[in-house]
Amino acid sequence: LNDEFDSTVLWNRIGHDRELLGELVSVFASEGPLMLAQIEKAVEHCEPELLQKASHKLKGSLLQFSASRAARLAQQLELMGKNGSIEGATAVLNNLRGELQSVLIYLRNMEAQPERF
Amino acid sequence: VSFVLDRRLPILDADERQLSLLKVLLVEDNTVDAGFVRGLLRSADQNVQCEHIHSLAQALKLLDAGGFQVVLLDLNLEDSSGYETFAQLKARATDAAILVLSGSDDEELAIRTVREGAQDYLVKGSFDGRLLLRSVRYAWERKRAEDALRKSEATVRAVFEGSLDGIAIVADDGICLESNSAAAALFGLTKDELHGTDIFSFSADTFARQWRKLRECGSGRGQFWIRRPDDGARRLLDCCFNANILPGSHLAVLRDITEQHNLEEQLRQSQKMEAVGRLAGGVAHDFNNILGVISGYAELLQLSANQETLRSKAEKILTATEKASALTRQLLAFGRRQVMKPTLLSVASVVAELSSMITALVGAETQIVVEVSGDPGLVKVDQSQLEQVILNLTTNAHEAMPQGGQMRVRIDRYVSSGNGGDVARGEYVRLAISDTGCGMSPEVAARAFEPFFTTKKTGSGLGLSTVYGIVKQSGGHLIVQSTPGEGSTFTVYLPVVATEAAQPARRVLEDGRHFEGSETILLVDDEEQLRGVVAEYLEGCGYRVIQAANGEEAIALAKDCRSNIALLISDVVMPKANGRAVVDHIRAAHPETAVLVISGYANDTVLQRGFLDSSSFLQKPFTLQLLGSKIRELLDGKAAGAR
Repeated sequence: LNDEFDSTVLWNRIGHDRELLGELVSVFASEGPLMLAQIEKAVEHCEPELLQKASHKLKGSLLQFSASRAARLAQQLELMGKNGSIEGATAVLNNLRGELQSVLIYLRNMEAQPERF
Repeated sequence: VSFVLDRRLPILDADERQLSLLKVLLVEDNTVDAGFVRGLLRSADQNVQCEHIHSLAQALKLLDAGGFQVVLLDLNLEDSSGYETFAQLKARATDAAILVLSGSDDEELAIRTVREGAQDYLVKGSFDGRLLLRSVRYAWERKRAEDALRKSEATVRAVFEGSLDGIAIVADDGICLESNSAAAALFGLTKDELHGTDIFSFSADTFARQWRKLRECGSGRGQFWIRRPDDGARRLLDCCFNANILPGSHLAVLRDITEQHNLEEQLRQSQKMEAVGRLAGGVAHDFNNILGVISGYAELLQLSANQETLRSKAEKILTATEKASALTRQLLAFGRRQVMKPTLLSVASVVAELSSMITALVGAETQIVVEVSGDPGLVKVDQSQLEQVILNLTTNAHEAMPQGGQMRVRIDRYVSSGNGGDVARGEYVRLAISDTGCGMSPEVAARAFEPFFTTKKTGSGLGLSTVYGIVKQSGGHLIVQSTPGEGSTFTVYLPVVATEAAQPARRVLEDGRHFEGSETILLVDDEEQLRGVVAEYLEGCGYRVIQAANGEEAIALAKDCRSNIALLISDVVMPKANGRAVVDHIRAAHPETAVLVISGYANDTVLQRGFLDSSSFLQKPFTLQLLGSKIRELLDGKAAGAR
């Protein structure tokens, strides 16, 4: 199992449907950055409520792709938002940004060469 | 495993995938998550159509339009979040199953929604297409089954509550677990009072025994008496029983059949009395004929005997036959076959007339109180029969108090609504005779009116049965109430026919005349011996007697007879042509002929209008002297009428 992204689980969940994977990656490629932008906005403007909501949303999507590590980071931010304390949020956000990029790269690779996963 | 499914679901097989088209409404504001759900469903089953919307407001609108079987609901939406999302949707999605989509960290909330009516929940990222599809299909199936169960429960509950019969669910030990209002009413309690109560506590041991037996049989039917705690009333319950409808829970359907039971008892009693009455009447009729022969020959013997000792012996025979004939009269009265001469009477006046006799009868140790309230009104009954009723009841009351006591005779007006069952609707003169004597047990009271039933050493058992017969024949009712050790009350209800007071008629006693004559009499009776003695007497008086053994012979003789037949004396019930036919023939062929009908009884079939009246009827047994007097009365009356 890969800590940051479990392609086998994802592959099984979608029933080895390459076409579906293509659709989902495409949606996530456009929606994922938008969700991240909402989190960035919340941290920047110090809006815990928005931080909780936006992080929760992104966390859900990351879980769908079995991207556990990224999902955990989103969950940390969600908790910060829930607790009304965004101290240290910027650092976590930076990590999350990097993880999201990695996940998207992984997903694109998987879409292009599913037989390797 | 990162997801929790509250029910184990079997793996779908090929057939299940061919299930009917399902319309799913996906309420999800996350486009990526929605894409997953839609994609998984699409690849799992082409028969599932999924429509995706982002907000609760849109969802409510679409649900109002209807058509969706399953709603896949994310609880955190743009316009609503948490449990509130579910609550609002649940209120509107009455026909659709709800399947909640939750994150891994809000399962607690998801479980709450399942408790409140969601069919299931799925944790995002933890389900594949097969699991999602199975969850969707089963959510819908469960929803349908639950709705059907709810409808069925509502129907059963309505039947349970609306039933006129009592329905109770009872535990092994007889404790009532549940009941409808009718069951509670049977026991005279509210439902709350009945629940938790031991139903055996209302009844004697027999109920508990029957209950055990029914439980062993599994199902069955039984009857048992209960005593209601509220008014102490004894009620008979019919119980239809089914054991273990659930383990340790037994169904009892109960019906109060007390009224039905009482009516059946009354009917049985009345049928028995009717049968005994018919028997008594029949026996009395035959016996009267025999008595007629005995008394007739005794009279002839008395008339012709030269020795005083012979006359004295004949006199003793006559005294004995009179006593026997008094007995048969009582039997006839019970059998309601006595000829009545109803007149308008005041019951109070008849009681007053008899008061000296009653006082003499009961002696000084018994105090007699007569109470007359207001104007009780008049009744139309035979005076001698009413006298017999009063005398029999007062004698009975007196005999119930050998050590003395109080006899109360109350007379008043009573209006019956007919609802009580014992006394038909109408206005009555009520005559109640009470004593403070030994009273009767219910078993004795139930048989009090049976002929020959007596608890006295010297009683004939005919006194009360005679009263019963007379009262019934007079269109009245007779009720007995008795408590052992406290006394009895016999209440006679006679229909009121008028309010104006009338005086009781005075009896006219016959004087001892000789009844000689020379006219021709046609005498018809199938009882040869009785015919013989009557003929012998009449010939002795100087009459010319033509005898016939039956109706046919009488008609033939009347045709052949050259001389004028002054009088026809005919029995009623005879072989071949009966008395009615003979009388009709004589009246048509010889209108000048007088008619005297003699009979051992006179029931409804012979006492028909126009056939005879009391002036031309003589009840057997009669003395020859009385016959002689009656004949002269009829013949002299005819002669006077002709003049």
